[in-house]
Amino acid sequence: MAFADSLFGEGEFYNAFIEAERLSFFDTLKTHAHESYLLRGKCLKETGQFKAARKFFEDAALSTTDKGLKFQAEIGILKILILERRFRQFDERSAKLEQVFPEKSREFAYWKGWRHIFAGEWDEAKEHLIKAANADDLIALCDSAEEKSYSLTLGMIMSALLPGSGQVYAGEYINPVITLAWVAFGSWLVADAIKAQRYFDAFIEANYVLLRFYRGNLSYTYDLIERRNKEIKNDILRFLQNNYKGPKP
Amino acid sequence: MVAVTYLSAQSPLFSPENRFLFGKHLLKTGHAEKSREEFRSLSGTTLFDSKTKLLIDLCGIEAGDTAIEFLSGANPLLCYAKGKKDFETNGRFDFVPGIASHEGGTLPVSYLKLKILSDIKSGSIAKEDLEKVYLFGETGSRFLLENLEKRVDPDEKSPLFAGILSAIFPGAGRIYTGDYGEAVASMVLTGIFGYLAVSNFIDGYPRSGIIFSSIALFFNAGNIYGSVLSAKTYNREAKERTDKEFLDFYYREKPLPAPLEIVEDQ
Repeated sequence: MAFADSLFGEGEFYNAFIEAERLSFFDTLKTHAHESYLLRGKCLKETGQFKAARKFFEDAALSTTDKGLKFQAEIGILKILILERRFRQFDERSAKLEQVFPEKSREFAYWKGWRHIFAGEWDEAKEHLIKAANADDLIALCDSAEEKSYSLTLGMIMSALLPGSGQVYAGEYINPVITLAWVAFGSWLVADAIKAQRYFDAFIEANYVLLRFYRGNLSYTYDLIERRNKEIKNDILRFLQNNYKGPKP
Repeated sequence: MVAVTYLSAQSPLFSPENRFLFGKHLLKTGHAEKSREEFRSLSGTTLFDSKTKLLIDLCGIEAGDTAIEFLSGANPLLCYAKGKKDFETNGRFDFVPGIASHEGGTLPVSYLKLKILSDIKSGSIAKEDLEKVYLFGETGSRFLLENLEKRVDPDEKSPLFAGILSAIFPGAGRIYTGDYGEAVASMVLTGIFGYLAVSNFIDGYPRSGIIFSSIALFFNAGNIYGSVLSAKTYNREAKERTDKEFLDFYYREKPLPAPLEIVEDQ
């Protein structure tokens, strides 16, 4: 096992996986089952094979009766669920685990904080990280992300009142002009038809020209703000991946 | 690291017998390159015999080594293994006559089955080979014959005909390609805008008439283009479906034994 561990330490994840596999293959009494499963899970996780890694962590958790070792394997699973963005599964699993390991509430709070960072939910992330303690850097980062993020509600209200303005708020300037022009043209067509008392024309123009562009304006604003917030989130995750020294998924 | 490696090498886990066993396990579980390393490490021991050399060659084939030089010489099993690998990677393989006509054993039958599968996938199979499709069992042969039928006589829609139909009557091309929801939408939208255009011209509103005509033309152009695309998509999806069904059958039923299984049988 030491050989496999040393290979893992050297960053030779595939070789480490094979050596752990060798140990498991000849370990008929299953004396090293937990370590072997855990190491193989870690190797697969490092190489991005999350689904297969999760299976090994699950086997690692099942192959021991030691509470500490079980917890270690379960945390491995939670980290993978964060990386896979399987947030619902993370929430369900962590809620169950908290009942089994009530003394580890701070660790759970810490990983819940990470789960919300990956989801771009900065307020919730901060809330959990405060409970976790010793996560001041992450809390500061959540604050700065919150400041940089665009408000979806504000953007949508702006676009509803003045088509295109929500897009301007999210930093786009050409598309809003075109949007506004189409909505203005649609409004003119409808008004013109009403003036001529051609109500069916007005109805069709309102539905297929005016409302089509008006709804498009709202939906585009929504997508744009979501995209911008995602970019901010990804920048932060990239920063954390390269610079954060504390435990991370 | 060096010390750990040295100490580990002295462990019984690394004895030649165990390396041989573990090598086979790795080959079975899809780690062909690592398996090859295990077998190669037996060089200089009594276990490095013709079977081990054959296994090394099999590992090379499984690992996709294109510049492989066989240690075990010309061997029908290697032809089968290479053919199977090529078939799984590219959907075809270079058939070597003679192997399938050997008497008895799993290998000739498996090689013949490989040829039948490859020919069916390409949509062209000789009559005498087709007669041996019974080798895949009752359900397997029924499936393969149906799959071949879909390849020989595919259910295709003509993009040109779909476009012409939609040009004559909006939405008709979509009905032809089975896209009924889009067909109704095309008919309704083009119909409404066409009606509004005519109605505005008749009632003396030429400006609105021009606007509605433009919209109607725009919708109908989109409808014609969409019908052509719909026919092309229909054809592509039909072909993909046939290929997918074939692959599902191949990986679900596993009609060809793994080369290692044949070695073990022998």
